[in-house]
Amino acid sequence: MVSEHMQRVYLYAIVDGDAVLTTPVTGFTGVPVTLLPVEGLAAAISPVEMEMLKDTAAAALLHEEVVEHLMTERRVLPVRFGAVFSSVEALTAALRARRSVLVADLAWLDGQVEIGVRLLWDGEARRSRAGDTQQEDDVLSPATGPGSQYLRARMQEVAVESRLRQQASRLAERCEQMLAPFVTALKVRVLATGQMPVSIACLVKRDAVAALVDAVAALRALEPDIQAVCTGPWPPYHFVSDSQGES
Amino acid sequence: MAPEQRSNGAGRTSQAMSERDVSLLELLDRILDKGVVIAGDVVISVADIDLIYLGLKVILTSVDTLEKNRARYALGMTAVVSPDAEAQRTGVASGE
Repeated sequence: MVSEHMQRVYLYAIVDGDAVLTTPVTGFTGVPVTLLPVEGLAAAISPVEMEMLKDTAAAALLHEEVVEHLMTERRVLPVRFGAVFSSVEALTAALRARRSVLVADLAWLDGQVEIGVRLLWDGEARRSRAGDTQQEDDVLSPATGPGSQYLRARMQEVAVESRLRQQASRLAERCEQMLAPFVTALKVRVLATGQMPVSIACLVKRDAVAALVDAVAALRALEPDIQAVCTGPWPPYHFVSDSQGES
Repeated sequence: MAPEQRSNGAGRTSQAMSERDVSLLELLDRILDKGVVIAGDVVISVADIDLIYLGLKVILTSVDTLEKNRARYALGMTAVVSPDAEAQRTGVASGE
């Protein structure tokens, strides 16, 4: 078990080149983030004590502030929160093993940012309407015994869920069509929660962000009860390659 | 993202909290599940609970809060609460 008071190395991001930062940024433990050179790349790191990661929200915000600061100076690959290494040597070895993927990602993501788009609807009203429609479509004879009543109710729940998912999928397809001209890539989630039919991460060139925001505004016209939330620009978290090297 | 720095007036306290809630949700949705994975050699756990699991609980709470308030967000570079949603949220924001 790792001691919570032992200082270790926290990794915020991978950046292009190892030149010293123009403007210092403070990381965990209150000391400036430094760049560790690794074969043409650099790892943005600072010491960390495990205790500091217990307040997840505060630690997450600090992680993000450091990454966004780095974004102002050079190309950045944001690292997932919580990458802690026992030593600089251990981190260097891990980076060397993935160097080619990291270099390719830096080139692909150059000049682009991530914009988050979430569509919200009234989930309860939608579910109620879908249930009413399902009852109208139900041609089975009324259930009599408790077993058949239970099964009938379950069947109706499944049918309502399926109907809502179909609606959300159709909405997602229309969103993709409307946003496609403005983005390099999209990652779409359908019905992540009952109130959120569509959630999209958009990879977009910096100079196309304003046009994308205008396009998101138009999404509200798709259906009367749709609300659209747009956030960013974020570092391109959704678009870096995964541990298998696939983006 | 530092949403609290984007508030520019005393009358926007509740709004700043809303922006922070939304931005934190968006942030957690990214940094706990996305981003470069360089396998660290330390397993992070807090009170024997995996930190990622702990983070997911934070996300679910935030989503629920977002949905319960049903705030209407104007569009912009950051999510901003519109005046009618702000009225609905009176007395609620500080408790979330």
